[in-house]
Amino acid sequence: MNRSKRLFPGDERLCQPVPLTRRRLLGHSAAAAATAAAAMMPTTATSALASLSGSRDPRLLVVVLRGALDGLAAVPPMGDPHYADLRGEFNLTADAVLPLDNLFALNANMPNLAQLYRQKDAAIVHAAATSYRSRSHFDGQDILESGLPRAGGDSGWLNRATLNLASSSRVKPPQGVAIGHAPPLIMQGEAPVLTWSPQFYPHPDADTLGRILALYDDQDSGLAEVLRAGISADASDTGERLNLQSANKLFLREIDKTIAFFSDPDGPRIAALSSDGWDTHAGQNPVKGKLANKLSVLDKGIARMAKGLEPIWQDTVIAIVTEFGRTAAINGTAGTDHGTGTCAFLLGGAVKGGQVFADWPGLAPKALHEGRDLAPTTHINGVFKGILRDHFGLEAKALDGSIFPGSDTVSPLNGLVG
Amino acid sequence: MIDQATIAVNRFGLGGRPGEIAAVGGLPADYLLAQLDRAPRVSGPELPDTAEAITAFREFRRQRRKELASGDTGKTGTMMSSNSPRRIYNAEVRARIQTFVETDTPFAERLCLFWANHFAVSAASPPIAAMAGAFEREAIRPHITGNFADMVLASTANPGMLLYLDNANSIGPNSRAGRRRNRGLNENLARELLELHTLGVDGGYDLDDIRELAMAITGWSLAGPKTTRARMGTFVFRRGAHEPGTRNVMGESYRNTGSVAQGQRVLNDLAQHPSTARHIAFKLAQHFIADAPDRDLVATMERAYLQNRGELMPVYTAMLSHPTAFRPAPMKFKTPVDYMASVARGLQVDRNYQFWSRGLVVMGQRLWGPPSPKGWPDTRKRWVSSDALKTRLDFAVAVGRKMRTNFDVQQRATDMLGASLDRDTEIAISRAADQSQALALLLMSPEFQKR
Repeated sequence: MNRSKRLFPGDERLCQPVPLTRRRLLGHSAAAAATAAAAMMPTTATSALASLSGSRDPRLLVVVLRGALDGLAAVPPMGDPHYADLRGEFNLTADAVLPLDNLFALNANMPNLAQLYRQKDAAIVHAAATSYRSRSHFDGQDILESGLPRAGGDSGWLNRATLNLASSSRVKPPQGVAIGHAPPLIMQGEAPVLTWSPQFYPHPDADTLGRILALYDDQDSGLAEVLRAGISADASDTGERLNLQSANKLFLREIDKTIAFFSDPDGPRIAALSSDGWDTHAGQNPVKGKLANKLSVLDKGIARMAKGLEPIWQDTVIAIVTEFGRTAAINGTAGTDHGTGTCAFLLGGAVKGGQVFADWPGLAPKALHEGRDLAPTTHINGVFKGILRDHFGLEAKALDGSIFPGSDTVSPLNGLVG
Repeated sequence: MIDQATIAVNRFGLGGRPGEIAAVGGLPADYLLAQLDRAPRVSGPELPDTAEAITAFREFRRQRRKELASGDTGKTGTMMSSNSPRRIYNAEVRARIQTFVETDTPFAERLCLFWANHFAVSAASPPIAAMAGAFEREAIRPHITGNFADMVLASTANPGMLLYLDNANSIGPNSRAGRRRNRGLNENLARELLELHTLGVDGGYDLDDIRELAMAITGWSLAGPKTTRARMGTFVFRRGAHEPGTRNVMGESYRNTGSVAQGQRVLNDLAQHPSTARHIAFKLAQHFIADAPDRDLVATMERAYLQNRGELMPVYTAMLSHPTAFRPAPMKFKTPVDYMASVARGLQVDRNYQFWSRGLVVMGQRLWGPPSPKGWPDTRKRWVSSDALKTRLDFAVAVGRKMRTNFDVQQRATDMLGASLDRDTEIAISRAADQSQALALLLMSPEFQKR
């Protein structure tokens, strides 16, 4: 077992002691590692400078997969000797995966993500979790989104991060956009946030819009401004009406709109998007089941993001995260139940891709959390902190203060972005 | 000047239907309180009770698992069977919308909605989707004019709540069942009882109080398929799962009775606690009057609560008698449910229920479907956003296009909004290009969004 104390030998920013001594970097072939090490110093220095001088225009999209993604099905640890036993007949075999390295593979329903990974535009964090150790979706999402150790907070870390960026940015507020009727917790808070969701009803005609707006201008200028923002966000939309039942189409539409927001020179730079339906207690057949379909749609979305954001890809980080993982073993209904450790996906030109960040705990019976779940070894807030620090140049004072209050024991994960 | 009759109908009711504002008379507070005396204590006799709903759900799940095991993941027979939670939920929603339109006691309905949301069981999870309407009928509606303690007891002991917040399987660590099995205490219901239902988040309790309360209500469960002494799905006390011993909650001690009495005593005392009085007074005032309610209003309601040991009628009376209650300037922004109810009632809709219930989903407030046990927020901060306003506009325009307007929109505007109808809106309606646009202007007018 490689127990390197540094993620990137040769990365000068990482010469500070890294407290998580067991952390190691997986997924690098020797050759790739050598190339990376050689290339690292100059690029890192340049991008660090650039971010300080403000010449970059960084964007961050956080996608929350609600319902708890089964990280062991999405990024199966094929090299772990206990994996096949736990998964029984739903074990992913070599023909159902895309190998990433000698331990991890990617579910074969995600070829586009695999491609990005090979291009070093995608990375994976595995055996990650929040600090939450129970199994309620509500509380789990609450904690993931608030960034706090306990459920019940009334603002989200992404909103608090947006607030910290507000003074330093050229973009006029709102800098944040939440895809949905109302901001999800991750985007709630003091920073003003735009909301948008796809058109369900037919577009109103311009005459009616004008007459309604006139009433607001006369009677309530505050509401008029909010309504105007809503009308303007919808104006450039395709106008294709949605079937409420078609969650997949909805998700892809939402991605298209997020791309449009990020591509707008004056548009928001921070976005939150959700995808529902990851609670796979049943029907987890990896080849044709519900989870396979979900992963396939997510992968289509990922391809769309990469294509649509191409002109600004170097400025983009996309973090795809979930509230917790699922049980290591398959249950009696061909699915998995609520668990703990899981994986997260990072995409974008700004991501140091082609790597799996994991302090792999293994799947031996004794290694499982409470005897049933993938044990979490990486705090997801450390991932978020690493992104906010290296992508936006936010400092420890803000990260440990207002954004993740009292989180100084959770170090930013190094080497994710740059 | 907005008159008190208009305020009574809009702020404390479901919005005006033809003739409603005129019927209020000169004593609007009395008009509202009188509704509570005659409000029906039962509703929806043709709909399943919580026990029937959970039994149907279990049958549904059994069939569904069989389907899934045979590799059938499509939307086949089971999904649409009469046992399906979605079918039951849709029937409940339909009944609810019908009540919005037809009720003669809209203030009572507002209170039912408020209390059902206070003791939220969320239709977001399938078994609860089938039970949410029944929960409101059984645990909330009979108690809206009674003592708050009775509502706490009824909602805590209701199968819907016991399932939603996981108390049904909570086992005292030293109970017979606890010593035998490796399953344990579940604190979910106790935590929400303290934080959300009674004392409130700043109510002065700590982790020990949560744990002690959780142990006091161990054994509060529901009858399963093998239970013989009670109908499946109804409340049962499982003595074998009840934690023995004396419990200490908020400085009071409660000795073990080997029955529900121990937990009932704790809940009764919690209902009478000053923190609960403050919490309930604030929440009611915030719901009906203003996001940041007048301090004196809250204090007056809190006193009424304490002086009358949790009786709710004196609290409502104190609210309606307070000078800020009928202040003309509207301080509340309608939630989507409030909004849809006032549209449906104002237009007296009697068909296309799916259009209306879907409207709620599109506007982001599925009926009985809050994202967490906290229930839906009812403040402007939550419901005023660019997308929420624009979607509401789209909905208003869609209603305008869909409704056969066999009525005079200008007259209906006065029926629905009374004296709060703005002169600008009135002119805009009179100059509208057609009836559809006139209706959209009425339904999207700024004054119709507020109460």
